[in-house]
Amino acid sequence: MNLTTSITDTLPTLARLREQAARQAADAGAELNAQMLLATIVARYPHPTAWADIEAETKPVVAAYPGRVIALVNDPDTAQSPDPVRVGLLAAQRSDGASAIRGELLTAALEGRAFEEGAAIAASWSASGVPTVVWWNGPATTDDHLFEDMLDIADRILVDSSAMTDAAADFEVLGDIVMASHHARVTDALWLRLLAWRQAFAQAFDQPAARIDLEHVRSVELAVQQSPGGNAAALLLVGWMASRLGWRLDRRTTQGWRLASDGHAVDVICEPSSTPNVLIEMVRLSAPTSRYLAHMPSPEDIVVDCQSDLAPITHVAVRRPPPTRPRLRLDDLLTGGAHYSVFQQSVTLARTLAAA
Amino acid sequence: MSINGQALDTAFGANPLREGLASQEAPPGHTLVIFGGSGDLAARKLVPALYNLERNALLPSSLAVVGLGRRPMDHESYRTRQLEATTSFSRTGKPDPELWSAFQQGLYYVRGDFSTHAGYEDLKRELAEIETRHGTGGNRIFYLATQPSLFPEIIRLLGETGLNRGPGTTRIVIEKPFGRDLATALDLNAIANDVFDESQIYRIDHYLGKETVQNVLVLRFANVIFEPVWNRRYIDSVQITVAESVGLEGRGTYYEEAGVLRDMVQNHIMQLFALVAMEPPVDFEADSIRDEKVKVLRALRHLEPDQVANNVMRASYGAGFVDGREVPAYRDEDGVAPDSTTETYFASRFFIDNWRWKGVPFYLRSGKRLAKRASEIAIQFNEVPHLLFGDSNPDGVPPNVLAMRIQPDEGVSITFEAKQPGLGMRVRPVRMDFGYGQSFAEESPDAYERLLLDVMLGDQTLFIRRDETEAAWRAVMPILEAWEGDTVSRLPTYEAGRWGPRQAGDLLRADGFRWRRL
Ligand SMILES: NC(=O)c1ccc[n+]([C@@H]2O[C@H](COP(=O)([O-])OP(=O)(O)OC[C@H]3O[C@@H](n4cnc5c(N)ncnc54)[C@H](OP(=O)(O)O)[C@@H]3O)[C@@H](O)[C@H]2O)c1
Repeated sequence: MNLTTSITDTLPTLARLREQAARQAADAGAELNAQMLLATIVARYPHPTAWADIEAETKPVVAAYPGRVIALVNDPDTAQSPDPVRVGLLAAQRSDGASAIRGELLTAALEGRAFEEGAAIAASWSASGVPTVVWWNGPATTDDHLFEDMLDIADRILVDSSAMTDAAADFEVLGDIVMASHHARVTDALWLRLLAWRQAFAQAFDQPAARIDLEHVRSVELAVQQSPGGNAAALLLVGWMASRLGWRLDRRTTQGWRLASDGHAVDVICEPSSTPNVLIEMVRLSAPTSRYLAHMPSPEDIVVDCQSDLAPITHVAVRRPPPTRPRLRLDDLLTGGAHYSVFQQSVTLARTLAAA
Repeated sequence: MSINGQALDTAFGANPLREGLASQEAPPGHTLVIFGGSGDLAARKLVPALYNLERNALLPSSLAVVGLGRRPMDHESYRTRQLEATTSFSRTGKPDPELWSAFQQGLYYVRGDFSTHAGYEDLKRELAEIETRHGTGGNRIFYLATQPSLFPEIIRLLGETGLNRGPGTTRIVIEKPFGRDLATALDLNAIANDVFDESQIYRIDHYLGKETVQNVLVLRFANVIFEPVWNRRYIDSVQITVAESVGLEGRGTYYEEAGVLRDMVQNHIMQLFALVAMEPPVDFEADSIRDEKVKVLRALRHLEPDQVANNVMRASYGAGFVDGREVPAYRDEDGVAPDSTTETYFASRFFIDNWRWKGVPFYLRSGKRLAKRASEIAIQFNEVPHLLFGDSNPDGVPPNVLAMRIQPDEGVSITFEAKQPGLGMRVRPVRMDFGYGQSFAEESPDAYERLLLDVMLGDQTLFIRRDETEAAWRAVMPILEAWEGDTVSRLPTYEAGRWGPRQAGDLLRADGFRWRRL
């Protein structure tokens, strides 16, 4: 159920839709249990996108975390459309089979300057008293008016560094933004995509006996997709590892970087991967008497094989399907961009590596 | 972490890669040995919980489960049986075939008798083989999921055969009921603590694994608005209800021996009570929380024998209708003596003698075959000291109530007064409601998932410590003793499908309160 309307009439139209849904539910003898909103989500679509696509992408998110979605769509053809705004309710199936309204979707098709000034629309349509989260759908930037405005009006902006085109320049920007004190805190979908890798390694070294190896790692080899996204992923993952383990940049090498750990060097070597659709295919950590190979035997699994000259092989499996776009966004909402300092430190190191 | 784990952790420092990922820690490899692996609890709860943990990638890849029982079965038929059980009882429905096929490779069945030495020697041999096959690192968990009368014998034999100390960490999980009175609980503790260190012992009360029970702590200690009024100056009374609509479900023989006081009150209700009434712990460490729970349980006012009748009410259900179906009286149930005096309903008034709660009555009730299944903690606040709107509200205004619903329909609600629209100053109570289901669509894990994972991780926070179980028994012993000395031939009855005996209302009426209708 959705209606087209004008920008000024959006909220009254939404209220009418709600009333209508409540009446229909009452006629059907059901209770409409859906006033709860936990967030305003502002989704930016830099290219024309159909209502159905936006709905398909946002519904799974609000099904788990009720919210009001404000989609700002950049659409040069909007002049032809008399009603640039569309309003609808997002319903989802509950575990008892009944359908419940979990959220609201408000889309505005805007053109040029109006799109750039979209923050004003977002601010006036936001639900009060709940956090505003922006899905930026692109890397962090300093030369976009909308992004600058969002840093002020939102509480969180989810950028996506896998869409970076120039790692050195883009990590510089991201590094500045995450360290500055804007009203909004910037989190990264790429960082969330790497969660399964981070978990797999953390898990491999949960065993106290394996922990000693961490101090003796001599090399890190990665098989990485030959793309700007793959490059950004490798930088962020190595940045994470280096910041956790206290490694510093020594110099750039032909295949990667030489890092300095306490009293020894750690060589990071990036090779092209053979699987086209994953950003990172394999990571191998080598220490003098042990090797830790993290790889993906299937798209659903990351497995770490721990091979020690002193003990038999053990496997650590982290079973995690690669997160879909709605899933990434939900994770961001649910974790609230937690453990920010780990992310900040990882970005700072990734930036140093990218600039080397 | 166990003692060994702790020592290793200190020697090598914390895992630096874990920072920021703490909540996802996966436990190290383990062998879980279920005494009673062919029984009901294993099939209904334990194996489905393990499967769901596996489904969420929360189990170590090197996990083996060994079910022990008397009936003859080979590994394959055990796996088939558990697949059927998981299909029926798992919260996520039919298992994914591929995932199950990997999971079941770690399931084993060993036949033997818990009461003979030989059974444990067989178990030892099997364990050695399974541990090598699965690379579990020699970490073992013994889960006592069998008749409680066997617990002391099993623990003793584990000690005699040296299974209380293994190559890795060794832990023991003890199911409820933990003793049937203070004396037997003390005996069981004495045996358990003789064979195992307290840090190895996990006494289960599955209520503590429930998300909403843990939420009591979050509500109290992650919000600033409740704690300042959480005391005798603002709270008039507290009601804790754990009501069931079901009857005995084939467990008549067990229930006849137990009754609701042992089955529900001494454990679940006392735990809810402790969480509501305890002082803020200094941190979220297991012992800090358990210290506070023990302190408040010890502050419960001791009932003298002649006070029991005035403060406690017991009854058993008569015939009636539940969910439109006629159900028999308790005394007519299978396994129940026709002249039984076992209580299926309990209600009581308790006081806590400490600075926070002096004079605030805590009303506790629990029963079977009540009007509905509902567990709730309700905090009733004082009336306003002076009502400004008395002219328009000659009967006064009802007090504020904070209700924490444990099950079903988990959530929290607050009732407060609001002005009724109109020209006058009529005041009406309104309800502000938070529903877990409406806010978080993510399904809560089953209590056993959380608890099994915690045992593997070595986290004792949600398990009952030795002194805690003893303190809870001490609190109810005067009641048990008074009942034992009482020679009534028949308990008051209540009609099945109602809210308990009428007399239960008298307990509160004298203080100017009423039981809440849930
Ligand atoms: N069932 C539940 O939903 C539930 C819920 C909460 C707590 N609990 C607690 O969990 C425990 C177990 O309850 P349950 O309902 O699972 O009991 P149950 O179905 O009667 O199971 C008893 C188990 O113990 C085995 N067993 C008994 N005596 C034995 C012996 N001498 N040697 C070897 N095996 C022996 C039985 O094996 P065979 O059958 O092969 O002979 C069976 O596997 C109790 O403490 C109960 O209070 C149960």
